Amino acid sequence: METTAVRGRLTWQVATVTAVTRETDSVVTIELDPPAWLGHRAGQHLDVRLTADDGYTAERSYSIASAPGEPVAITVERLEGGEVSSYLTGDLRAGDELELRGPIGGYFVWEPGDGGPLMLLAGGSGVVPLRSILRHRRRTGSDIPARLLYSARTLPDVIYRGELDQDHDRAQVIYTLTRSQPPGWAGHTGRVDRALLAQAAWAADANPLAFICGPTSFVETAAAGLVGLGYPPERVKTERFGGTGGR
Amino acid sequence: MDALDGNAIGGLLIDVFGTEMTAARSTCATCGDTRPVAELVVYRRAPGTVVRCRTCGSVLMVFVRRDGAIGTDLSGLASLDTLGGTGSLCALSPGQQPGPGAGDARLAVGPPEGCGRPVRGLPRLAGRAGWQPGSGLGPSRSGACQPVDQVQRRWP
Amino acid sequence: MSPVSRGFHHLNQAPAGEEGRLPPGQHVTDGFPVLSAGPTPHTPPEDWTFSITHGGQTARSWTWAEFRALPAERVTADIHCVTRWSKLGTQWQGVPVDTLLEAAGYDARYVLAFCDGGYTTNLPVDDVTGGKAWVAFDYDGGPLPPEHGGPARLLVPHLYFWKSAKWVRGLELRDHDAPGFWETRGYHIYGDPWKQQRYAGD
Repeated sequence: METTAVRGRLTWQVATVTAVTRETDSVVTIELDPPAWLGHRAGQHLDVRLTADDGYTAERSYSIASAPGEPVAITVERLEGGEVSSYLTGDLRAGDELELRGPIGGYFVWEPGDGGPLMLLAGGSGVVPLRSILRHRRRTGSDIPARLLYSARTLPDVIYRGELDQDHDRAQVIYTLTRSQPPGWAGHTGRVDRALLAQAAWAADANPLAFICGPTSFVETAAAGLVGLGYPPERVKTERFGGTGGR
Repeated sequence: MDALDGNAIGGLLIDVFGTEMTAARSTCATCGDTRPVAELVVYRRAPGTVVRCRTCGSVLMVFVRRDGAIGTDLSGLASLDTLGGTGSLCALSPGQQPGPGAGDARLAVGPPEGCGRPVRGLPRLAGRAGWQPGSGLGPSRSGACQPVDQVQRRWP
Repeated sequence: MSPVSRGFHHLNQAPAGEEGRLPPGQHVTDGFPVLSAGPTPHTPPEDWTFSITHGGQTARSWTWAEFRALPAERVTADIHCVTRWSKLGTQWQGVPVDTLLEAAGYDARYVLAFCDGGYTTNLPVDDVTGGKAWVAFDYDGGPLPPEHGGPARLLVPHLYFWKSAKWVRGLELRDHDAPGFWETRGYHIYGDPWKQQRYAGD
């Protein structure tokens, strides 16, 4: 990583959108080509800034969905009434420009040297930085055990489902669908709580390293649940998303 | 409207301190709670950004952006230790080790020996002074927070 | 120079004809944004009091029942937040601050409003008397919701809305002005939206 990564302020740069891929009805992944990108760590995010022609600006943070070494990509969920997410998931096209700065973050990051076993908990679009972690783990050939417990409203709302299911023999993925389930669903239902964690999470005596990401209420319930099961608080890393605009 | 956490202000903290700070270890001046900045409670939808202790709710830091400068109030903190969290000061330069003058990400506050040292003397900022451009952090001043327009400072 | 983002529009455009009611730098919003510096307090009516204090002593205090028994007024006001949104024609019910200060009987030049959760804001007494301010308990035809400051908040529409302190529990009478929460951290001591007094020194 470059030693000049941070000198003074982190500077804004204008990236070209190289691809926009629809993941679900309300979620897209935006691949970017920033001119001066110094690479990133799994779990980091970047800030996006939109400018309207009257000079009005809006900034939001989005987790980086790609692994270190892959082209930079963010995954954005359209939020009800969200002026930035509506634009990014609706109007944005390949060839458009997007002003951004990053990468940002030094706490919610993982490298194989940090160890495990990894216990990843995702609430909705909280899966984005965890997917970066899983991809990084796969690309580095790490054999650290990893398990993802992913809470989504419905099966069509699950982001990256094909990819997550494909990796199933190397990283266990456990879903819980909270709003509705397809016929014959044999998986979990209902929100993540202490009881579900007792079944689905690595036991505390395995000394797992946990990463929890999602809406604030999800993160707080899940973190309290893991700590209640004996995870030391310093081995439970949390990242809370807001209800408006990703973070 | 839910509060967020210190991860949400990673960019703002780089603007203020000149380096990644979400892994830095904060200590609350009111109750002594110690945790990474990333785990503090953050309210962003306000006339400024307010960072509170997760245990006692006291205000630890307040940031007010005005005209391209950032007014900074750290008076709720007892200390801010950049050796905390992942143990890597320069989170964007993972190969570096903290040490005298290490790298370009010199922390804005701390003894002149260089980055990686705990930030002491934050109570000296208890007068809610911000940082004066070009003068480094000095003894506390009373009165309103001063806007700042530069990021890197040295402890005098 | 930031590039304009193709096709990105500010959702909250000012409706035609309303511009004259807007102080400089503001735009109209249809919603009612919730801004907060801390968690929403939830004080039950049986625990709520409103006090006028002076020199550390309580000059006068009301329980919720006593407060609600005071004559209240309907207020329609345009409100202006320092974060640049304005909301026109908002409807409230509240007890005039004149009523509360008269009952306390003290003379003072300034007040410091104090609130559940620790928020404070300072105002000249002249700006909360003469029919310019209320302690409001009803918004848009119903009880003021907690996220907007309920059970009661200060309402001072002629100043930026950070002066309309949410979860207000009283007014401290002072001879000297003392900056409150935001005023201490760089916001303007007075806050007149028509003069764009957002920050100290404006």
